[in-house]
Amino acid sequence: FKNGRQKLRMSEDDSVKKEVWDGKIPVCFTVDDRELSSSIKKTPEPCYMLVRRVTYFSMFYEKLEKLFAKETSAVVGDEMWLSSEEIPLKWHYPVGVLYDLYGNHLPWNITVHFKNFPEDELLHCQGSEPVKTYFVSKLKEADYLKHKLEVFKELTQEDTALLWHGFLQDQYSEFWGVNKKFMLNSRSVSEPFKSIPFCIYREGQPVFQKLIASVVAQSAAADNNKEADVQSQLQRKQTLEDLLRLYDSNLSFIQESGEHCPLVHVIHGIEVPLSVPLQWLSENMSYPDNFLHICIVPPKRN
Amino acid sequence: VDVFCATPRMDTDSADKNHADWRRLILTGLQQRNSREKGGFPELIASHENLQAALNHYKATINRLEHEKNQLEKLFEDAVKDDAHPSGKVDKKSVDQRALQKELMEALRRRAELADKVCEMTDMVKDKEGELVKKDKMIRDLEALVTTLRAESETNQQKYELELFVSKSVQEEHRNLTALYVKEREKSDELRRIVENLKAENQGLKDVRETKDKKDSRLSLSRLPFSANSTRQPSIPPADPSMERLSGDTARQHSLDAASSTYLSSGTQDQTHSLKKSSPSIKKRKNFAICPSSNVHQFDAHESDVSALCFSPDGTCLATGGSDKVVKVWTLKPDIHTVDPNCTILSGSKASIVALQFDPTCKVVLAASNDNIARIWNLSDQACKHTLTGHSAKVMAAKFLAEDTQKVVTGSHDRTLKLWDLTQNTCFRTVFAGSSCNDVIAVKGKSGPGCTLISGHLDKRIRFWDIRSNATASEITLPGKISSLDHFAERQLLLCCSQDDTLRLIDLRQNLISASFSANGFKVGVDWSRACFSPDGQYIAAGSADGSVFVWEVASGRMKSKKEHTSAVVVCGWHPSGQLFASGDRNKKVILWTS
Repeated sequence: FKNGRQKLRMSEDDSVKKEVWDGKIPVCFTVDDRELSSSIKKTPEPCYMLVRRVTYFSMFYEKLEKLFAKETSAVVGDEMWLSSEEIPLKWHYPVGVLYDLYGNHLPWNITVHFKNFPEDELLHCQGSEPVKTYFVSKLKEADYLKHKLEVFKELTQEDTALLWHGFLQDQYSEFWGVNKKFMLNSRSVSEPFKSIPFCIYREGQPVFQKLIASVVAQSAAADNNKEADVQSQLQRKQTLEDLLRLYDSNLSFIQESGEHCPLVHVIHGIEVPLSVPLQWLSENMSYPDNFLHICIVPPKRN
Repeated sequence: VDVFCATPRMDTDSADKNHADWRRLILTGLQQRNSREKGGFPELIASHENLQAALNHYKATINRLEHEKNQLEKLFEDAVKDDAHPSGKVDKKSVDQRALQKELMEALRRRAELADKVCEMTDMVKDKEGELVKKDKMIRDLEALVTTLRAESETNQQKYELELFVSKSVQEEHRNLTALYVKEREKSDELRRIVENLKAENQGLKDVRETKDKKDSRLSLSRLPFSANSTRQPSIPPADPSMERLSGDTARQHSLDAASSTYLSSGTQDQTHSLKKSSPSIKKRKNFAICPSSNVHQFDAHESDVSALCFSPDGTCLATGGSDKVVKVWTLKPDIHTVDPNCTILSGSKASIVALQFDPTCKVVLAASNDNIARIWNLSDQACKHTLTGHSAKVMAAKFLAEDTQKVVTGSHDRTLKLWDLTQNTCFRTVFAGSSCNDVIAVKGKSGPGCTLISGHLDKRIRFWDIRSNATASEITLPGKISSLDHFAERQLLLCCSQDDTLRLIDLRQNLISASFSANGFKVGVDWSRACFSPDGQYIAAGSADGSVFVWEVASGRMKSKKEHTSAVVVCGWHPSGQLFASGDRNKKVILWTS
């Protein structure tokens, strides 16, 4: 029965992972009208794409450039950047995160810019190398938090290549064939992570990142923070609520009207129940870079 | 999460439930999300992408096609431009083509013609070249011929010249031989004549003897003077051989000239006889000459020097020769003290006259001149009868031979004496004297009728020549160069004037200097100063360099000098009568003197 239940859970977990992996958002890329070159008589057709939630926008820069660069007065050396309703989009955030933060319409309208790169808000991304480097560093960071880099050290070149290739080419099994190692410790045994790698995003505020252990000692139940007390036999799995309380103890924000409203947290576009254990979340609902990216949004947003 | 079973079960169970709940919640949430977010978009987006792709493709195709169209249009336009009017262009082209073809044919034909012409020309050139070669060969042959002919002609020329020379010499010889022959003929004729004469004379003698005997028998009663005059005949024509005159002691030998023989016949030793014949009107006294003392007449005879002076034997004229190249013959007035200023001028000489002589008949004048020529003029017509050329230097003296006035002897500074035959105008004898001759005298030979020449030379010698024989007879050396000679035949005296300023008398019989005359102040004026005897042999006179005339009495040696001339006196001479003396100087003047 237990095995059966386990299997069911595992199949459910797998389904969750698959669903997370397959998330796509329809995007409509249009060129900024102001940047069109004078010789163009009509605005070029927008480019519609289904963009995977787990990727980064910088992977589409090349295609978009090919499509739109000649229509604009852009010259060689101008870097493309994207904006959603005047808000420049950071390319190192996964698409899902960006949509959860800024997306408001389906299909999501993104404007393609070539000029006036907002130096103070965006990082430059030339080519595909920065993305890969960033992805791998995120993986490393995550593994450090989880296993103190024990698993990452074991990775071979081939594993890294597979990881990246699978991620890039939307190959779920290829990716998870390597990625599951990160879920296990160095001895390939499931073990609670030391800390949970997570980031909390909120519009207008810097990224929130703190250490939070996967399990804490029971006795310190009232004490939601900090490290687990290993010597105590009783351990409690931390939940999402603990994480959020870490961010903001009130879990609410003050509206303009002065009312307190509860915070709305979105992971992968859904509102996850607060009681879900962090360990589980980290294993199943992390982005491919093994981070839990949580977005705090105002409640009006649906 | 469920792997670590170390967790308390209780929690797990409740958690399980919760887990089961929230797992399902999450799952459904995710599914809802997916359906919401993806929705019908995938198909839309896919079709949109297809449309875009197709659109792009067609755009590219259109671009390409348009580009191609533009190119074709351009080509077409170009093609259109090339042919201005599609239809007319074709015709024109064909027309042009035809015309071009015609031209081509024409050109080809012409070229063929020209090629033919070229062949012809080359053939012609070849022929001409062949001809040229032949001509060249001919020319060369001819040239060779010409050179050989020239050489031949040269040799022929030389031969001819040689022949000519030979013939000339032969001719000369022939002439000489003919002359000789003629002479021989004449001689033989003469001899015949002489023989005949002899015979006649013998006969005559016989007759004379007979008459004489008769006369003697008759004259035993009365004597008739036997004057020499009667035996002498005036103006004997010199060439008349039939002379009746014979002197007993004249042993007739062969004499070269009949004239001298007649002369001999007329002269005997007891007759005074000078070379100059005198007219019968003048009486011959023994000492009839005057000693010149007073100047009775002087006149300008010539332009400058008076270089020769001679009285005519008949006493009518005085001839003077000067360095003005003429001989002037002055007629003496009847009182013989003056001359007629109108004189006869004998010209023809090219240089000054240095010696003069009248012929015994006073018809011709013989002059010796510095132009190497002796001349003879006719007095009557002043024509030059004879011109005796042959000397190579100036002729200093010319004299008629004593017995034969057809023969002349000339003495010259070319160291020769030449004997001339006037009848033939040739020099029949040249005597090489060896020294320049200043004066020459032709005298009757000592030993008979043969003529002797006496010449005075610059080598201070007087030479005696026998005409008949070739050899030098003898010579007398004097201390000074002989400047002139004169001869007094009666006493066989020779007067020599020499440049050592002395006059010497030489006795020809004894060949000795019998007397010498000199004086202070007497200096010989010129190399050929002429001294002379008086016709009677009483005086001798000579002119001096200072212009005075010196006269010596021969017998006593007394000297008289008279200075009337202003310049050196060169020539002097007595009138045949002895009553007049003339002297000429170097400054035109001739002065006539009497006592």
